[in-house]
Amino acid sequence: MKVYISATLRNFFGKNSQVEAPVDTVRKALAYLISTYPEGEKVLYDENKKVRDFIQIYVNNKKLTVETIWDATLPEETEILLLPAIAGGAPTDAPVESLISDERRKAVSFDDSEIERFGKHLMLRDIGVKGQKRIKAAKVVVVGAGALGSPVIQYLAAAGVGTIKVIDFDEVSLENLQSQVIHGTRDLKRPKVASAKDKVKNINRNIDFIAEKEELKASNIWEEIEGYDLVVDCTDNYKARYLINDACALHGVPVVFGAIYQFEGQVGVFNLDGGPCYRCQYPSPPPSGLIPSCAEGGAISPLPGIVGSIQANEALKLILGIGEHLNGKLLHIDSLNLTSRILKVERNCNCPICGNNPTITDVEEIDYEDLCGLKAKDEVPVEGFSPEELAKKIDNGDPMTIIDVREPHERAILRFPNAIVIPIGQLVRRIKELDPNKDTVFVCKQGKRSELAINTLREAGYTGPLYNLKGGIDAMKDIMFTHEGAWL
Amino acid sequence: MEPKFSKIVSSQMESAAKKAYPCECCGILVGKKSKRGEIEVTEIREASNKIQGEQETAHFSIDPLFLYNIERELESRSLEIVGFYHSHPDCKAILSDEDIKYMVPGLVYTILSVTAQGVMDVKSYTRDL
Repeated sequence: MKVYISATLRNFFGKNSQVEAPVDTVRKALAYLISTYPEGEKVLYDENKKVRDFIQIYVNNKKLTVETIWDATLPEETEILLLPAIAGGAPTDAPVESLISDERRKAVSFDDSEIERFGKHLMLRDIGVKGQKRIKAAKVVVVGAGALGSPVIQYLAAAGVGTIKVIDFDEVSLENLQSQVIHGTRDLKRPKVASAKDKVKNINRNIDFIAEKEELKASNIWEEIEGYDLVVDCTDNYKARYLINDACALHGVPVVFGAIYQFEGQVGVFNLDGGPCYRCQYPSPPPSGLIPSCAEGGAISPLPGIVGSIQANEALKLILGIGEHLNGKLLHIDSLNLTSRILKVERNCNCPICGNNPTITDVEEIDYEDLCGLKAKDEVPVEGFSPEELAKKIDNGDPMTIIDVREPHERAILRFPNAIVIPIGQLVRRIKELDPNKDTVFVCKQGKRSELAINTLREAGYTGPLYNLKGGIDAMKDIMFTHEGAWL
Repeated sequence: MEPKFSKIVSSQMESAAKKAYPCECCGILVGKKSKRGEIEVTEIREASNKIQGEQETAHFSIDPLFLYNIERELESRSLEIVGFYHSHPDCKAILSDEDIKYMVPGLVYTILSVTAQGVMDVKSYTRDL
């Protein structure tokens, strides 16, 4: 039979285009070829005697896919084609380049105490003195000094990041201490950035720490992150996440994203080297109130420690330019069942911010309150009572039905007396339990889910008067507790 | 040794990469190899990417029979296939693991890094046996 050798492979077979092999199977033909041209063996087979990936064998213009027909007897006029497989692909796990240039690394030096302090990094082959210098040269913004920010800020400081800016508008409250381990009892009512600064200065007073007690907005975000290498998103709400993503995507600043909910957490890296952004994965936020935030949904105490530590680890790997990283991936951790998965995040060609034809070119064009459904919609205003108004109505004995749409375990914390309990998911099914001739007031923890409940009922065609408890039971509890003879 | 591309060839490759974006483009480099190993690329043949759908943005594959036909056609013109080119949309012009796996020793593999803004980088690689 004839063996045709592609010009691309001919150099290894005596530059012949065609070889006449006096055999009757594919296997024998290849063996004949190698015995005639020994140097061809290395091209055809790898070290394990497997045909190399780049070799394709065709028999009479048909691709030979299974090795079993290698031993089938073929007629004499058979022609075998030896062709290259031409394939490849863009790197999915391209080696990361360090975010810190060599010039900046070289500008850094260490004193003796730093050599001692960072000894455990210096002894790692992948970090060493060069890597530690990159860490010291790095400038990182951490947005949020709460549950996720606590481990992120402390580990970045301990690892030796030279410049850390922390942005948070909030003050420390008692409920924060369950998971926000950067703050202590002495810090109650202090700005979170102040106690974060104390902690960081206590770890290493040479760190350049910038504390910004303010809320990030479209108007100020760029001036806050400009000149920084990396943003670690430790926020707990969609408005901030989209704002951070959009500003960073527009200016090419990578983001290490983290989020927690009850027992589960997510970590991802966005806007790195043309990789996807947060909007590629989540083009728009869920309707306001549907997904409770961490503050509303709760989280087990060590969970932010796990997720935040992974964020800090990703941030350091990006600074160092080492290892596998979560670019274009989302790590999902379930701490209750101890499982984790890595989901792939594809770049979205139609992404409004990083796609082929971006429609968003400036964060100031976007109303993030509106995007996240935080603005009261003009077309369907939900009527509501303030806690004071509702308390007065209850005192007066006004006729009304109160519906508590919270989940059973939430009611166990604080019961709303005389309320009918209908979790939000069952509402439409149980619509008949409501009396359209009576005022109906909806309550939940923070007044968002109850608003969603009212809109859901309206969409389902319910016509009776519906009211929302503004601010939810959280806003009501102080009033009711101080009220003598209160229901609560 | 760095292959030489004529101006026309370079611009043809670049426009193919831009046209295919965000998917990968691929094709064959045709030219001459001198005795001393100098490679000159004089023309390209655009190939259709056999990979369609979602994978198309990060993978390419050329039908070997397409190459076979071109090879036959070139025999009479004392030209030969000297390598292949393909694009890496939104990715650097570096070899991926998959690229390395399919590299035929001695041939030129040219990679174009392309973004929405255009072709950012062009690099050529060869592999020894």
